[in-house]
Amino acid sequence: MPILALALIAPAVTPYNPQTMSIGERLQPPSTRHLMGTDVFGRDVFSRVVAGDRVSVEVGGMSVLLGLVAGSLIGAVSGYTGGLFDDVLMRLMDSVLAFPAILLALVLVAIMGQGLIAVMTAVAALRIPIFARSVRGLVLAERTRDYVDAARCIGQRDGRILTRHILPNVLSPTIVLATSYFASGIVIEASLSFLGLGVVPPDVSWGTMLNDSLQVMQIDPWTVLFPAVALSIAVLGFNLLGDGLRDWLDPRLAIGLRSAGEREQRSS
Amino acid sequence: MVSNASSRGLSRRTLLKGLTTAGIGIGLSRGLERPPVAADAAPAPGVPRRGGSMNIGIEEDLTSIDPYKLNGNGDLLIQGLMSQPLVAGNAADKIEPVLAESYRSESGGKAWIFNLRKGVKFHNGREMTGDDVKWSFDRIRDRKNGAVLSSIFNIIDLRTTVVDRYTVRTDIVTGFGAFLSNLAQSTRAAILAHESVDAGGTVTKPIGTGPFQFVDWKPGVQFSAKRHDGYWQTGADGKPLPYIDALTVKIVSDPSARLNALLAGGLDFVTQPPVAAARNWIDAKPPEGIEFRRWFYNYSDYLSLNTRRPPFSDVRVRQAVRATIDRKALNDAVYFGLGQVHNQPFKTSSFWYENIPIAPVDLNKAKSLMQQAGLGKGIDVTLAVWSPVNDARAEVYQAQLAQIGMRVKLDKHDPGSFFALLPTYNWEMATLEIGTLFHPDRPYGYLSKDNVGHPYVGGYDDPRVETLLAQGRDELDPAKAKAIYRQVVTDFMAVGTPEYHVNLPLIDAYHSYVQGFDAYGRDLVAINGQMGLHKAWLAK
Repeated sequence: MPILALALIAPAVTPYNPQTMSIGERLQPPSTRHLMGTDVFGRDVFSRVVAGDRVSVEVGGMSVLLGLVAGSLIGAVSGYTGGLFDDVLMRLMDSVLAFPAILLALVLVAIMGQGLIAVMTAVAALRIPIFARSVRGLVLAERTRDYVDAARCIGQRDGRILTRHILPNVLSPTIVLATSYFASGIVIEASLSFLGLGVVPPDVSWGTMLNDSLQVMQIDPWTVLFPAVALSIAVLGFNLLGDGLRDWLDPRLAIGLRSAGEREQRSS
Repeated sequence: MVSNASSRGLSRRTLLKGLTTAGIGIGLSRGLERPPVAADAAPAPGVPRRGGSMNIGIEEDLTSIDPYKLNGNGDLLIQGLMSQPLVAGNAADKIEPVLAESYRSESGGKAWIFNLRKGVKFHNGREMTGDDVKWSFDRIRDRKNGAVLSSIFNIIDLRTTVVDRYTVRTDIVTGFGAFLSNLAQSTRAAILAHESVDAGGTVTKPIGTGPFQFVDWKPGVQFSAKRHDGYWQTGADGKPLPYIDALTVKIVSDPSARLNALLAGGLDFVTQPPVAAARNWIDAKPPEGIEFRRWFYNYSDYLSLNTRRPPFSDVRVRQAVRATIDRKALNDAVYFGLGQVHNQPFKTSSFWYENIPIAPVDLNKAKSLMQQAGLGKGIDVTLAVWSPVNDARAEVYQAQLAQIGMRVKLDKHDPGSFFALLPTYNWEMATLEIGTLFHPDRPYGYLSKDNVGHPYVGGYDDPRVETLLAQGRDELDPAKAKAIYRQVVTDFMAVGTPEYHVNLPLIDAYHSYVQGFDAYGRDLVAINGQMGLHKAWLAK
């Protein structure tokens, strides 16, 4: 949550413009003037870490949202419709899933060109088959339930059954899944930017900061330390958020945990 | 939950731990392993010793095994190991004989007579003669072979005649003053044995006269060479150079990876380690057992502005850029102050360097010029970048030009798409580099509309400069030629493109046991044969 909050208020808390170079102050170690030191171009590392947080949250959030919406739509329609339509769509999703994520992202960025929008779209495209497969599985399980038969009996149309009855029931596990992929979106964005294929300067990304620091990391380690720590904290934070949401939203897991607790109490 | 997992025998965590440990172990053992170096027993210190092999790490691979297609840094570094020209430039950019023992011009430079060095052997043991020079020059001229100098050889209508076994005459119709410098462009006009090409005329195994002979090339991985036993230069012991038996040149594109491999002992010698490390070595000292050399040759960056389309078709906008770029800041930021700030493509110690003051940074003037051009509110422009080589430089341009309201968007390209883009003129700004210069006709010749490099300087168009270039190209007297080129330099500086900023630093780092190495060019063996790895030996 602090990472999300920091992303929202980034411009207000950065002491310097994260893009402004000050060559005379290059590679300054952390001090009261520059909390996390300065980089090879004399830019304030703290301001850039905060600005990078915003980019990471934007990419993570938007890519997951786009992937979630598109993937859920495909998965829900595919699962509910079934038959040949389902087979064709799922084989297509499987073929996309067969590619390693970072490789596919590289190809997509190479096709679309660099920049924040391209990275978001590429990461979202990677997520579509994952959400589609997951939602389809959940819809397949739900569509045989009694409440769906009941809805059909009273004459409700398929679209309404899907949107009003089935989708709300598959929403919780899908949100949990989305949260866990938030962190992986951040990692892919950082990887692409590190490779010089993601965010284009003057926009700031933790990945570009790590790349910029490569040749000075042994002499001036703070230039690589702070963006790396920020990236690690963000990934850990969003993974923990996903776990917490799962605990909160997944009733089966809650029952399982309660049962385990009861068993433990009985055995002791 | 945890106790359940651990009781299963091999948990995921245990497996990951094991794999990680194994991976680090394998990595370390591979990083530290070195092929055995066979060398003689230790001689007295400072006395060259023979034998041994060297592992070298360089930043770029060959683009072609054909020395006449020399184009990139990898070609410059490697091709000179194997092939040599008749003449070459020395450290002061003066042309001197290499495979030619002497030369003279007749008829005001229309004819050049080269007396060949006797007893020079190709790698296959055959002696180099006038027939080989004619075969080589004719092959370069033949457009179907794709030689870089083909267009120049055709423009000057180069005709080669074998006078006798060791004498060759070349006749040309223009470009008299620049002729020798064209022959001196590294291996672009080297003398090759005709056995180098296959039945289709393609070079499959370069057979030159250089100190090392071709063994194997695995594109993108490594290049191998062994000593040429019949090489024409001799060492301190009176026997033929080189001292070392074999070279393996590995392509390691990342500077930090090259340096780490050197420090770990996997490489004996690397080119272009991280500039930050070199700066630190100069300020403090290099790591124990590591030596390094920094020097300059005519190897400059430059910023090109496309004069054929707005906004840079307006000279005021180009002048505004000129008044904005802070060369010292650029040098400090990108090259850690190790470059040499200048305003023309020649190093300051070159004969061809014109003593013209560098324009001072003047942001008020730049803003005023932008106002006059109607761009007071700023403008979006695109900077084409050969990425990742020039990324850092582009970022500095971007930050500096933001001060006058130019919002620069970086348009990153690989080398292929970058050089395909330039001739289309579908760009606004481009950042480039130029090297291998021994005469002003090469860099400034780009300003001529007929030159193949014309797009690289943004379609520059000035009839007065065209006339001056033609005069300079034909002028045999270097002092008079220099005076002509001074006017060219003054003219293009006034209109703000191309803008040369920093003479790029060249750095080699190597273990202390590599002795006798010196350099002045980009090549691992200087193209005039006076410095390089063929004179190095291993003191261990």
